[in-house]
Amino acid sequence: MKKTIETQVLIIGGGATGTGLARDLSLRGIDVVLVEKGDLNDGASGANHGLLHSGARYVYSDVEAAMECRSEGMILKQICPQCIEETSGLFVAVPGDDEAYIADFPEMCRKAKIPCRKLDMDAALEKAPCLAPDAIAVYEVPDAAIDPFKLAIENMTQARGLGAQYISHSQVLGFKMDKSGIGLARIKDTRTRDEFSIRAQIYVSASGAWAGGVAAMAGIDIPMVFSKGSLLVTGQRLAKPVINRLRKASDGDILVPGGIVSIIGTTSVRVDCPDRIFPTVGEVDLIINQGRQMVPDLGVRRYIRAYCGVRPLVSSKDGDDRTVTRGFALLDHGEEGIHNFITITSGKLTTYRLMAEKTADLVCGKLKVSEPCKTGKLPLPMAETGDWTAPGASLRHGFRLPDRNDKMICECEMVPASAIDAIAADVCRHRGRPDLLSIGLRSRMGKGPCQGSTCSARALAHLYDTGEIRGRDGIRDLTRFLNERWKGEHSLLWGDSLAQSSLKEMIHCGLFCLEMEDE
Amino acid sequence: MAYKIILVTVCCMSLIGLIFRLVSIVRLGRVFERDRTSLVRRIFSCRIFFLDYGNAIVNTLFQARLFRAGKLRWLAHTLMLSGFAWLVFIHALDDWTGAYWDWYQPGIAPFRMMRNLAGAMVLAGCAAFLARRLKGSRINRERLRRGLRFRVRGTLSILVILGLICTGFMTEALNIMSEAQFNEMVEEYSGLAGEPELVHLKAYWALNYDVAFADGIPGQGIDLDEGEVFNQENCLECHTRPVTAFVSAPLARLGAPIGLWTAQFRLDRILYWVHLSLALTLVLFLPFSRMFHLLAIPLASLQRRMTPEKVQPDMGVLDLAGLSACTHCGFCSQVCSVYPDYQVSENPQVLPHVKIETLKRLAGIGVWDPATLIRLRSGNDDCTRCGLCADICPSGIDLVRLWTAAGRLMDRLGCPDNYTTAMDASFSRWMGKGESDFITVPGVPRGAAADAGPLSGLISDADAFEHCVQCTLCTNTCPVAAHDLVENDLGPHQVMNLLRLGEQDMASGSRMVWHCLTCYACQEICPQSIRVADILLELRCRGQSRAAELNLARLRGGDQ
Amino acid sequence: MNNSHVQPGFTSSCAQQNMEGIHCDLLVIGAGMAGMVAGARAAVNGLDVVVAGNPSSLVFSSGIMDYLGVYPAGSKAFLDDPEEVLDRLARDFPNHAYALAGHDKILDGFGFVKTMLEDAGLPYTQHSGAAIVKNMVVATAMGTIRPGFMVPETMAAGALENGEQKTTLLVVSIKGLNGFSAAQVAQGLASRFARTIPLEVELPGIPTGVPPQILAGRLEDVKIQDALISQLLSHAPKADIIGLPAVCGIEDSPGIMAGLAARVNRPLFEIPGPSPSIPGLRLKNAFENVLAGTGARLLSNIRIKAPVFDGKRFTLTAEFDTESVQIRAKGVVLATGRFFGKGLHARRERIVEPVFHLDVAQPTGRHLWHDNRFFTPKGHAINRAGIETDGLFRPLDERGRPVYTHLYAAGSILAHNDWARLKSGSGTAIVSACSAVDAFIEARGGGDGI
Repeated sequence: MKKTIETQVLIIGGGATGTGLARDLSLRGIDVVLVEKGDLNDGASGANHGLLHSGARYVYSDVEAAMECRSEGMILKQICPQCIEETSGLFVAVPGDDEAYIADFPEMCRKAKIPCRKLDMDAALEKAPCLAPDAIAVYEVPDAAIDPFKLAIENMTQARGLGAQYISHSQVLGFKMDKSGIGLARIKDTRTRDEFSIRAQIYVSASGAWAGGVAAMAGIDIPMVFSKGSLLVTGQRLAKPVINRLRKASDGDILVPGGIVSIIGTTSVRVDCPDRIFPTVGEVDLIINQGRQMVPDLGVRRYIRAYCGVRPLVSSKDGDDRTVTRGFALLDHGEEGIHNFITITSGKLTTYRLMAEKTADLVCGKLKVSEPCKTGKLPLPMAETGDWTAPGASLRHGFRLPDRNDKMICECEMVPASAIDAIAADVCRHRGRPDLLSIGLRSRMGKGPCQGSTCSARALAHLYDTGEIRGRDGIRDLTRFLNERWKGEHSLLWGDSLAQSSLKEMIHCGLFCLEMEDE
Repeated sequence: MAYKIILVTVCCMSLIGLIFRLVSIVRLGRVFERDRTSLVRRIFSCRIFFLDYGNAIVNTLFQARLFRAGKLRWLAHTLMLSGFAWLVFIHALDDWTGAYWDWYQPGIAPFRMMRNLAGAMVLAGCAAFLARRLKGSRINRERLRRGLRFRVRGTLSILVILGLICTGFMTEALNIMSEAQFNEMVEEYSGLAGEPELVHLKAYWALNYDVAFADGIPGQGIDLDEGEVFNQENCLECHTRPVTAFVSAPLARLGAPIGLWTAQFRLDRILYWVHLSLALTLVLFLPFSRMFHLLAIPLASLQRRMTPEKVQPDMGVLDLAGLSACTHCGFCSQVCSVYPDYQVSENPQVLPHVKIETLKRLAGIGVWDPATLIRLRSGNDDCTRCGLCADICPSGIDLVRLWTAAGRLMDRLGCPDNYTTAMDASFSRWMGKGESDFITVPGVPRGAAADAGPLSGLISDADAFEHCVQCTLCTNTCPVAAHDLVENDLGPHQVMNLLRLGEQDMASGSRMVWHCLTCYACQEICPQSIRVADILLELRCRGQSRAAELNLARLRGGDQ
Repeated sequence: MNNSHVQPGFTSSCAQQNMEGIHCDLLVIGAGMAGMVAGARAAVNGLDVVVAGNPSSLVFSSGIMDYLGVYPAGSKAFLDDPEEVLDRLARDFPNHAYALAGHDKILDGFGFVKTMLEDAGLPYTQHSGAAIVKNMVVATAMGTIRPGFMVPETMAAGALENGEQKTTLLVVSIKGLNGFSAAQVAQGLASRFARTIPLEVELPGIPTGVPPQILAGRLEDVKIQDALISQLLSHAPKADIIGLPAVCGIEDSPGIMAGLAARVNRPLFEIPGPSPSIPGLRLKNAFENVLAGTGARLLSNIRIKAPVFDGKRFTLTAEFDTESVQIRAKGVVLATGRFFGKGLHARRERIVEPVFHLDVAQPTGRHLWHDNRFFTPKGHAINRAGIETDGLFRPLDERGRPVYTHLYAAGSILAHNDWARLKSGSGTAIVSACSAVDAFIEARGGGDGI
């Protein structure tokens, strides 16, 4: 007997936009269900730079986008300061960069009303001692760093607190159409393979790069372009501020601090499909070779992880993918005769709230609800489970170390057993089965320099002890977890990280022979 | 006669000064004592029969300890001391000591020569000491902080001695040249005054005794043999030829023209009084100048070394003498095993030669200003009581006993110690109200020391710790972790991780860092060659600075 | 002594005594399995040998010694009899250490090591089947199974025959020891035993997250053993055999295990887990004692660089923290390991051998080093990179000739051997080390007085 869930709005996609939309609609008193085929931020929202743009990057190519970034950035700093680190940002040019670009920069910023201040080299090196000493120009702008995981978790948590439902690992199989548009959405739980349905008044696809696929289920064609971007995570934080390359947007241009690490990127590679992507050796080398021109340390420091995401771009048939509009695409499919279906895609993390607001306005218009948007004014409450995504989070929870009896599972990211338990309980509450992957998503386990060498086995032992995992499930979990983490590791294995992965292979293949168990 | 009276008077005054000084030393003990023992009792508490007379004698006569510490310095010092001793007994006090040789005269050969030799030895010693000061030895300039006051006082003493010797030589030279003295002698001791035969004697003396006659010697009619006969009859008993005065004589010959000119105003007399004044100044100020170590060192050397089995409860008189016996030579700090702590924390009170002076000064004044007290406590707590400083101290001071007593004293004064503060501090207090930056207190600076040794800078250099793969071998091998199994909070690998997370300050407050024995087992076994133990040590030094800041804040009033 | 460490004065004294220069017949660079075996082999044959390296790499070994567990990489079954596939391996990888040395030499090497370790108080067990050379199979802390040619005696009782044991197994975990779950092991092995029962015991004074080495040291204390026994006794009757995490003491683990087994009246065996591995630590201590006993000199915590060959001997610089000393040797065995041991260094574009700058056989670009899947069946190509040698285990230059007459390479640094997948690490180390040393001895005229 297949179950049907009734609601007002079904949101498809649990990224920044989807969760932001859930919050917005819930604050307006609307009943919301959000389904996500994987888990929160599985798409671009979980694979971006973590950069809250000042907008200065777009002053040449798209002044409106620049101004939008600026105003949205200021709003976000007000409503969710806990997700943001006010790092400020620098734009740096090195010998060989386009002098005209450099010269026009401050004026372009002024036109876009983005504060921009020239720094002399001494002042610049004081802010960021890692800068290349031969830099020829440095400007300071109000960039900031934002934690997209914390953001999504907190948006969703508040929405749930207001009555919204979040269903993870549930993929839309298809729509049952009727005369007004979509009558029913058929969903499959990718883990239990159960199928169920959701009937809503409005269906919103906030599925990012998968928007084309979702729309196709309703018979709508959205031409999409997939541009993969890869990013590298360094072993420790290299600079306090964000550091941008002062030139026309290219590869390896931005170094963003993310808590105790730095993230350097990015690239732009056309791919056919947003699934099964991973950073390549070529991209890694490209990023490092470009990045080290402005920050020489990038050529020598240890890298921990690489990851990639796909920029969902609605095609414009020409131009390099970066310039295919990075403004968002809010598509009311009423124009195509399906009146209860909306797609919101593309855009930037920085403007997610605005995207959600516009979408919610459209939804409310269709529902004849006249509640105004409150997301720009109401602060986003902090959620405890959102905490474990921050590096070194466990340290803040008590002096020296958490409770002595709380064993440390992941040493290098300091994830204790209590965190694992809390996350497992949370996953269970939402009909999931706690496994290493879901715990990995919601915590930093295995994301540190250890590459999950020992913490994965420890976490597994713990989960067996608490009864969360049984039989031989654990071994399968472990191989899946390690294969998953591997995606972000194997393109940057040299030096220390290679020594680390050798150790990992020594343990898991050499001793445990897990490759014999892998399907 | 006048000379004798003056000398005796000055000696008596000096003696009074000496007694005063000794009493003040004994009273220093009051600061260290729990109760107010009477002075007399304290003096007699030193248990005369258990003193180390052998050490005192050998050290005083032969400066045996200085010989062990540094041969060149010993040479310069011995030259100076022996020369000076000789001069004191055989020259300055020759009115009394000369009686032992019935043929003693200051002007005859052996004594002239020996006086010059002694003077030359003292000169050589002074020159060596001055040269060392001017050049600034490795110790003085680079490593140690020596206050201006020390340098001035020490240099002053040497300059006075130098002046004394130089005026002595110059006086002797002038005496040799002096026509006026020749005339006086002729008046008093020969019957040739006014006689025409005097000219022969004069000529003889001009030739052989380097006297500079203003009118010169007539070229003709001189019978030198006559002169020699006169010389033998009248002068030789008291004056042999000055050639044996191998410093003064050449000086006289070279300076003859000047000598002649200055004879007008009897520079020889003036210089004589200057020389005398300098000597008497030295004597008078002996109890209060650097020269007091002449007495203090023998006293300090009498003290039997403190051993772990025989921990003395109190600071005896001899220990207090030890405080004053310090000559600021700096040997102790050269060998100090916790010198690297100073390089990181930049707290000069880590160094023995600074500690002893602070202790003495503060004890003398009796008032302890919180900042100095905290720094002293911090530095003294760093001390491992390894005893290398006491072993090498040329003055024979039992430094370990001093540091132990100082520790107890600071306990009694209620001065908080760094370890207790670090272990008891709450998280927010240690981290400074949630901020990651320590507050700096003047005098306890943070940052690399000027002479950053191989220890400094590891905790802020990513290359030093980023290669850690968290294999945990270090923690597994750590004897502190094994011993404090339940109490220990972090293993060394977790400290490395805290560094990677940027939490140096948190790491510096951990039990592990404060209990680390620096056994280096972790560093030996690390497969990534990370300098684990060195990093822990640097963190502890950093923690010491932080604890000192907190202690100072507490002493100054109120918890933060 | 609870904490294992070298006998006092052993490593440091030899470093100090010869600060003006060290002379020896053979210098072995690397103190892992290959380095230690080479050092012992040389010393036993009368050579003046110096072993320079960090012995800590042995602590990463599970303690189990492998000949060949899987072939080819990717097959899902363990080998029963390594010898059976040797010909095939030799055809596929003619330059593999096993192809160069041959089965007899491999067996000889294992025998040599087994005897040596037994004399040092660390007995090993081989499969007890008669004529055929067989692998044993033991359980791991993950709940999986693993082959081994020789296993420490303390693990032997848990060996499986045809992948199973028809007994009731009591799996014991110790509260506070992270990463070993009795439930996990019991459930993982449930199909291989008649029945598995998990049990967690609590030992006095053992806190959460106890480092394994410290726990192992505590288990040498009779009072702690008593506490363990008293908890086992109430459950032992239900079981035929008992498995424990491999932390039963550091010195004399066989003695401790035998004592415990006698008191519970059941066979006991240790189950290996990840590093720090106590059986690996025991191996390290045993090797250090072996070297001490044979007169070989061990210099630990040292970097070897700048080798120079003057036609007759090698001169190398050995760097301690801030001092350095010259070592002069007639022959050198390079047993520096792979990426973890720093024997091979992977830069972003290529792999180099940092001491002698030898040619390293390797894939043509970093994009070929690793597969997209961590557990890829055929293994990662980079693991087959390494130094290629001739039949005497001398590294070859680009023309295929030995770079130096008396420079040898042994151990995991050798090419064509993905030891983690093939389960061939120890065997490669042992046979290459023994062969290299034997070749050196023979080349120099054999025996003493070189």
